[in-house]
Amino acid sequence: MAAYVFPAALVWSGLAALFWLVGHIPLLVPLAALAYTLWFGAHEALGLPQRVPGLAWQVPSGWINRRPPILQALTWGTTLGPGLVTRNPYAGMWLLPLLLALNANLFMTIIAGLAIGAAHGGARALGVLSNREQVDSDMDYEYLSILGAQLRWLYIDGLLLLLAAGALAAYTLSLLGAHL
Amino acid sequence: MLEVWASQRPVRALLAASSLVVGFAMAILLLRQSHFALAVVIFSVGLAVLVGTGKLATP
Repeated sequence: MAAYVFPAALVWSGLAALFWLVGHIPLLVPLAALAYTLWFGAHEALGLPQRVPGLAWQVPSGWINRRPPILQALTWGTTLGPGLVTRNPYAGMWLLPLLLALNANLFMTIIAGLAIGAAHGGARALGVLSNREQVDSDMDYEYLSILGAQLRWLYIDGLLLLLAAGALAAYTLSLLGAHL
Repeated sequence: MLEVWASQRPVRALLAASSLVVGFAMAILLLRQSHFALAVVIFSVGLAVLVGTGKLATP
């Protein structure tokens, strides 16, 4: 668990500082986040086919094979924990850096980055542990249940993106001077 | 039962529109009370947990 949580928290806090700088460009982040959440939220919530941006990189087997267990855990944790370089089917993932950039305070942004990294890394580790327990059961049944679960998560992710889209629309209007 | 109902296209559209409206209304309230920034952080952490846990579905 720690191998996933700590690298993820570190990576996300660094990313937070970087995106905090981007957040200084007026209206760029709110408008980009609004467009992103509307497009991907509608696709995921309505069940429309879409391609989520991201990498499909996989950990090379040479990094894992014949390595000590502690090094294997660190390799998996560092690469999968932050969730930035491996395959990710949920568009909500790439909204997170944009939400970080909405913070005006650098300290708050870094704390938020740490919390996001720890939350994602911890949740990812729990998922891996849960999958490991299910590996020995009926493979066909597991495949179907995984597919069903992914469709459900996409639906929930889409609804959350649209919730964020509504909020971002109000926020952007307030930045433009509208009295809400 | 609930899942089948929620998967129908009109229900999906209704829930999607509701999410937009609820998000808009909640943001107005939070902006008026100056709690918007904190709410964004809490939402971000929740979304990170959801995305991380959701990857359980795609090992």
